[in-house]
Amino acid sequence: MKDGADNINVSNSDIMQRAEKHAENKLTQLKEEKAKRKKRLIKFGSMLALTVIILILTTIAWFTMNREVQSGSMAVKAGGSPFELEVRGIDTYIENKDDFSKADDDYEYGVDMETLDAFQTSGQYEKIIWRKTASSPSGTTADDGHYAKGLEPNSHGKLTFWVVPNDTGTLDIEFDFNIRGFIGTFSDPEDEEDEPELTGLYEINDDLTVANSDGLIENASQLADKKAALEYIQGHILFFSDYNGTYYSGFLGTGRSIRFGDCINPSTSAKYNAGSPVSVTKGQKYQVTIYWKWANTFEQMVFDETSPKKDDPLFISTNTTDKTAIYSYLSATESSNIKNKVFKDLTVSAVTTDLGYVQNNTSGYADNAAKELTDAYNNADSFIGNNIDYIMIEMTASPKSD
Amino acid sequence: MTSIIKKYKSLSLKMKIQLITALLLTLAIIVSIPTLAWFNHQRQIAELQRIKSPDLLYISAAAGEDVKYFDISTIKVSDKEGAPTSQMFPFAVAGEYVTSFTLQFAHTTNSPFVYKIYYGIILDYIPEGKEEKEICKTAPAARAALTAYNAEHGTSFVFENDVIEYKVKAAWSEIEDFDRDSNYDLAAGDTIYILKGECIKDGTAADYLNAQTVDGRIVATNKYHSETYGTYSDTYVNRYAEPLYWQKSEIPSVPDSSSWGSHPFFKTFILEVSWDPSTMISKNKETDMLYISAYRDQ
Repeated sequence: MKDGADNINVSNSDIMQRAEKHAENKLTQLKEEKAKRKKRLIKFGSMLALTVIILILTTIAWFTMNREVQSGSMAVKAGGSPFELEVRGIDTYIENKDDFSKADDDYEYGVDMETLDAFQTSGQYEKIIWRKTASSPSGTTADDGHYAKGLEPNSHGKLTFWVVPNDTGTLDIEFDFNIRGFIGTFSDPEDEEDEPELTGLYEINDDLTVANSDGLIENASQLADKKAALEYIQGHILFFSDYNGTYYSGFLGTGRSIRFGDCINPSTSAKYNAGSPVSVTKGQKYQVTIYWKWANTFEQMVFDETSPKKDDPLFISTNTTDKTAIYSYLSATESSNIKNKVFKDLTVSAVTTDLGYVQNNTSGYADNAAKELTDAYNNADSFIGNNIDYIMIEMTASPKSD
Repeated sequence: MTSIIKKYKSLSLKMKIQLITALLLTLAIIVSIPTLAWFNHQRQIAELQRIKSPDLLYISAAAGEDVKYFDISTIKVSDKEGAPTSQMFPFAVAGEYVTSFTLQFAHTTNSPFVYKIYYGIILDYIPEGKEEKEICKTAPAARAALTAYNAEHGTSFVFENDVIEYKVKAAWSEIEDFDRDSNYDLAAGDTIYILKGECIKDGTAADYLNAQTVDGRIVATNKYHSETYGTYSDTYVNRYAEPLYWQKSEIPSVPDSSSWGSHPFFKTFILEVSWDPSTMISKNKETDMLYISAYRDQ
């Protein structure tokens, strides 16, 4: 070792110590670098993830915004709805306008077309509230389906809408009707003379329980009553595609559905295109009216004007299609239960046997059978009135699959 | 939670990248499934309708009591000189409030009775020094009220012939929320006086829906035979067993509906059964069936 510089004169242990330190430093440095690399990697990874998400969402947005995307070779069509629905009428004639949101607040007025008091559905407004125009200068009447005090047996009405195609071509739509039931809470008015006001509506469905009914339902038996009453009103309200002021025709039956082509075109008084899709032109509107009736009595449903037992018949004697269809409707069964619940407190076999006697006018049995059925029908009506406060008549229009 | 973080930290970088990628792809699937719902082309329109609660109208006793108090099981016909030739039976239509209703009456014709129906007016007066009307609960008050009524309406009702004294019983419990006593100023045990007011069924053949006169007696035609007896031939049905039908619609339930307040009500009627002694053969006991029904006007 040279002499001179002090630090050169080091011992072996010093060297070792320095070496260790150096190694430690190097190790720490490496660790730091590794940590830095890790951090960089994580940052990079999260940036990558974010970019991927953004790309996915943009793609989705592109798909739904672009209505012109069509692929001839693929089975999947990505595009806008083939049609919209339109209803017409001023706000004043909307039934229970201020209470609608209590029943279902997914429903809106729709797109204001700014002419003809028309409102349409759209991608944003899939569910809109029905409107009607008044048939008399004084306002909507019973024939329009307006009952100021509420519906009762024999109430009837019509639901008019327009099909607005988005393209020229053929349209095949299925219109399905459904009745939803509600019970309501009412306020006690300050003035005894005033009617109580509706404060809330609770839908009668599987989600309704004794606990969440706000005290309206006290026990399981009452809940069962509400559900049974809903089935009765669903059974008692019938839908038709045509009404001439006296007689109905085109009974929609158990399915409560009708195809666009089978709907009556008011300008020709004939079906748009029976049993087939309808040729439509973009820019034109196609009016459809469906009629509903809460049948007053059993006699009204089954006896025509030639029968001594008639009671303001629904169907004319020559309408054999519907006269047969009503019996099918009343006697339809599903898994040994009556499908359309119309008669209260009668067994399945009593109903089918009695209907058989009435339909065949079996001597010695038909009169008693009719009496048993009509009493059961009226009991069901009374039961409905005592258990249900509001109903919603809901129509769903879906394109029929190609 | 900490165990998961520990496990995560223990993974190699490669595994971590794979894990993150897998999670992202899962997220993408979750996002895309609701997006598919946007492709749904269903449209819905709906209308909300109220259901009216059913009306309940009952035939009750004269002041809205249980119908069991309405008894016309026996009518005594006497051919003695000066014996009464009619009998009066008050009844009422009671129940949930309706604006107006239809009253129907049907009967067989085995006995040659004449059936008349009148509005039953419960006599009331304004006491000295008071402003509100009160129901007459004593005979003198009723007589005075009748005099005043005759003066006001130009009628000439006679207390002995045209007013029924009636003992009020408890309101019918069958009718829900029937607060009769406070709405009508009545109580069980009161005596009220019912005036045989305007006649709404005069007992003549023309007043029925299906009457004819045969041998001086009013009997039914075949008009409603099939509605009554169905397919059972009319050759097997006794002429007097064919019922006579009568009805009157738009009978107002309360005098002033705007101030009534929609609580249950009762409206009194008087059924008067009368006969001509010379045509009644009192030794022949006959039975007739009478039907009284009421329903709300549409």
